[in-house]
Parts: sequence; structure tokens; C-alpha cells
Amino acid sequence: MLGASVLYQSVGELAKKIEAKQISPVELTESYLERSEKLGPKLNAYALLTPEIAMEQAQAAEKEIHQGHYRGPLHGIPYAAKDLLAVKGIPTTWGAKPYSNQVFDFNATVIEHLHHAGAVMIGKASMIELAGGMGYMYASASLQGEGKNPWDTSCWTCGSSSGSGAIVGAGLAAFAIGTETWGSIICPSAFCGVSGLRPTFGRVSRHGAMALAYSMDKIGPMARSAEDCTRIFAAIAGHDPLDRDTLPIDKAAYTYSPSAEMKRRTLRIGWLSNAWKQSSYEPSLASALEAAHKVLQRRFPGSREASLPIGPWEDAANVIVQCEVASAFSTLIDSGKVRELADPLGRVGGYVNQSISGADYTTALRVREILQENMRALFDSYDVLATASQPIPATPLSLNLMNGLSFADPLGAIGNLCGLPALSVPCGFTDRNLPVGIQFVARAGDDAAVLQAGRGFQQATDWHRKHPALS
Amino acid sequence: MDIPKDKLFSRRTFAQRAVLLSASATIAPAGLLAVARATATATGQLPDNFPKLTAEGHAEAETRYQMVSSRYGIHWTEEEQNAAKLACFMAQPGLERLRSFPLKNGDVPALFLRPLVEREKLVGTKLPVATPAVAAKKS
Repeated sequence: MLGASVLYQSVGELAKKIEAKQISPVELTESYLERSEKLGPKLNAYALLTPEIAMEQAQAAEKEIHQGHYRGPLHGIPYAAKDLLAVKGIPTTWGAKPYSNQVFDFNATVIEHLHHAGAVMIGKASMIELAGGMGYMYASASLQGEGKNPWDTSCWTCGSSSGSGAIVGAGLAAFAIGTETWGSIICPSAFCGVSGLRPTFGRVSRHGAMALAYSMDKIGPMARSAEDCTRIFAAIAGHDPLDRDTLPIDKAAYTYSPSAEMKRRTLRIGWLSNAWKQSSYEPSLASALEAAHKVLQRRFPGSREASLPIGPWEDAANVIVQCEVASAFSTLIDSGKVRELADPLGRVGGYVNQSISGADYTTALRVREILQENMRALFDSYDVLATASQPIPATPLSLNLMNGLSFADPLGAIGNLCGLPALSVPCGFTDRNLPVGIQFVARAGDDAAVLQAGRGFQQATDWHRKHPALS
Repeated sequence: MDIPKDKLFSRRTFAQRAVLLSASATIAPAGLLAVARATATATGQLPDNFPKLTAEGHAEAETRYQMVSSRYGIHWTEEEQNAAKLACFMAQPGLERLRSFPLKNGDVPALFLRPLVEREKLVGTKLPVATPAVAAKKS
């Protein structure tokens, strides 16, 4: 079996070895499966391991590569998919007891794309029940239990892509697919010390994915590096006639071209001064961010301070999510089966969401339109906005999130309301050895800018190469 | 539209009537029990983690809780009742900030999200300026 030193390699590094036939996709898959069987339960990382699917896909990949048919950088690379993506013939639980026996007879478009790229699915990643759509108070709001952070198992992974964060952070797969409506890729990526991309709304098809908030859900990769995210994003992006919200063909597709992208342009970075309450940063987190800021200033000369527009963006985002969730899960809510959810707030949140008025929802949509124009103007002066991914490191598993994780998050609200791309990459550690993340946000459609910023940052740092000690 | 002041409901009056309506709509004994239970809770001191609201805001949040509780509360545990009430009250400050944001009649809703990608910029569009409704929640 291959050791952790191989299993923690990036997709790019593994792909070179697979193409050169120095690593067998079958051996790589067996090794990730063995590590996942051993460590996965300790982290509550998986909803389901799928060794039969994995070995069948790995053997097919190996056979094709030996026959000279190499499909590209994901060929023979094992990954995990968040358990809200439909995979034909196996349970897709959405992390929630009422759906524990749900089985679809088709694959989500993302799963199909990865299959065509030759990637190997080794399991379904655990998640917060219904991706947190009903609200939740505790990390334990999941059919699979609380997501435990590979860096400190007494701490949370963050949600809702909790398993995806744990799997990549613990080296249980080469990458994972997560989803975000508001924070569900960026926060677990930051807490687990991995790189995560939230693509522009509409670039990745959501066909076959659980709908939470129709106008805010996005699907994206979580991986070892920004460059890995780029490779995976290129494989899953694209127009899909089965998802009416995907962008047109020329705006949805993404082509990976490493050398061309790095020389493409000089990014104008705006370091945000009002994204978080910076005075409440703990000292070691503040130090990590200050060091990251200096790296950016060296790497991208001309970086300067920027400010987000002020307005009720979080309130608008809250109302939109609440109303869209209330509609998306009206059958579940009205049936009373929400009582089967694990979290006390989740069991009643849907009813509260139903009580928000149509007038308030429409007001929120009008505020969103104004916000989009404001952000468009801001991006006339900057290509990329940068700040901490989260103002705190991973929180204790037992924390009441209503009290302990309820800080203002205007950038998360803005980014998700406007469908802006974002990338979180590791940028250091606190004095308790918990990862700190920095995030980059760009204008809608300019996913290349956040990926370029992340790759530039990671060329100058090695935080993304640090891994937790697990046994 | 001019409406004589004596014909207008205040928000508090509206809220009080809505509470009565929602309570009276639930005739089943179990439902009445839930309403009574919730009302009893409502009359007590709110926990410290509840947001501080104006009288009107408090009435609206309480109405929301009573409405939800009267429809669904018969099955709730005490913990779930508390969670529902907290959620109803927590939603209120945000709704008030949202409603006080200055919007003109012609400010149209983004009925579905169409991200403004670079090539779709509207030429010659006058940019609306965001004005803070309140500054309290900002960092």
C-alpha cells in the first residue's frame, strides 16, 4: 500500500506519475480506500464508502492508460462526492434521516463529468443535514454525526461540506466535491487547511444535486492546492441543458492552461478592511493573516486596501435562503418528517422559514439587484478582493453555533448573493496548530482571477503542503 | 394613497389581532394547549441570547412564533419550542434592516440570479448607490 507521503500529493503530482505508469490507479485507489476505512470513521468523514464502484473505475482507468488512452489529469485519481450529489443505484442521503433510504436512478451531471474525465469515486462525503437549510445549532446536525477536524478531532470541520473538508484534510482521497449556498465550501476549506473553490453561479451544473436555495447553490472542488482546483473545475464546468441556471456555453466552460494563465495579467488585489471585525482576531490568526498580506503585496505589486459596500446584504441573503429553502422542502416540512432531523433548530427552522412574507422576499431580491451593480463598480478598480476566509479557527465540536459562530459575514453574503467566485487557501496556523485560510473573491465569471491569485500565493508559500498527524 | 389615521392599524394592533386569529384558528384541544404553552412562555422574561427589539418588532416576532407554534407546535419538545422562538426573534432585526433599506419603485427584483459577467455590462446604466440602513451589524 502507498504511504501518506504519496496519498497527500496533489492531483498534478499524482497525474504525472499515473501517466508515466509509475503509480497504478488500482493501487492508488486501494490505498485511499484502506486509509479511508481506517481513519474515516474517526472523523465521521463518509456517508458511504463505495469500494465496488471505485475498483471497477480504477481497473477501467488502468486498462485504458496501459492501452495508451490517457484522458487527462483526473484519469485514475480517487475522489469523494458530497452526499447530496445523485449517484445511480446507491443511497444519497442528503445527510438527513428522512432521506436515509433515498436512491436515484441517474447520476448528477458533476458525477458524469468526473466519470468521463476518468476520475475514481471512492465514496460519498458526509455533510450537515440538508446542507444546513433548516438551520442548525450544533456540529452534530448530520446523519453521520459531527464532522471531526483532522487537525484536532475535538474541533469541527465546519459545514455543510464537512466530510469533503475532512477527507481532503486527512488525505483520504485526492480531492472532494463540495457545495456552497453560503459558506459551505469556504469555511470547511479554511477550518481543514485545504484549498476550495466556489465557482461563479451557473458555471457548474447542479442537475442531480439537492436543491437548497435555487438562486444561490453552487458546486465546487476541494483539493490540495489552487492548481488542483483549477484542473477539477475545468472538468466539471460547462453549460448543461438539464440545469436551466447554467450559463451559456461560452461563459460556463473553463479551459485549463497552466502556463498561459500564470502569465495572463497583473492582478489588482484589494485587501478588504471591513470584511470581518478584525479587532476580535486572536493574535496568532492575525499574525498569519498579516504575513499572508505581505506575501500578496510582494507577489502582486500595487495591492491596496478596499472596502465592501455597506448595506443589508446579509439580511437579504438570509431572507432569500429562508424562503427558497421553505419552498424546496415544503413537502418535508408539511409532512412533519422534519422531526426526524438531528438538530433541534433543524426540526423547527423550516416552519419559521415558511412564515417569511413574499413582500420581504421580493425586497431582498431588489436589494440583490442593487448589490450586484455596486459590486460591478467595485470590480472596476480591483480584480480580486482578499481577506481572511474566516475570522476564527476551527471551533469546538460542542459549541452552540447560534451563539458562538454567529458573527457578521458580509463578504459571504455578498459573494453568494451575487454568485461571485471565491477561493480559500491555507495561509498559516494559530498557536493551537489550527489552520488559517485566506480567501480571494472576483467578479462573476472571472474564476480565473481567484485561481490565479491562489496559485500565485501558493507558489510563494508552502502552507498547502502541511498535513495533520493522524493515526 | 391617503387613508384617514383612525382607519389605520398600527403594526402592534395588527400583530395582536393576528395572534388572536391564529390562536382561534386552532380549535383542537392539543393545538390550544400548544398555544397556551407558547403564550405562557411569551409572557415570561426572554433569555439573554434573544435580540433586543422595539415594541413593534417584538410584537411581530411574537406573532410569527404564535402562528408557527399554533400550526405545528403540538409535537414540539420544550427544546424545540425554545429553538423556534429564538429563530423567530433572531429573524426580526434583519427583516427590519431590510425593510428600511431605501428602494425606489423602479428598483426591480433579481427574480432569478443572473451573474453579471463582464461581457454583459449594461452600457450607460446609472449606478444606484447603496446607503446603509443601519450600521450596527457591520464590522
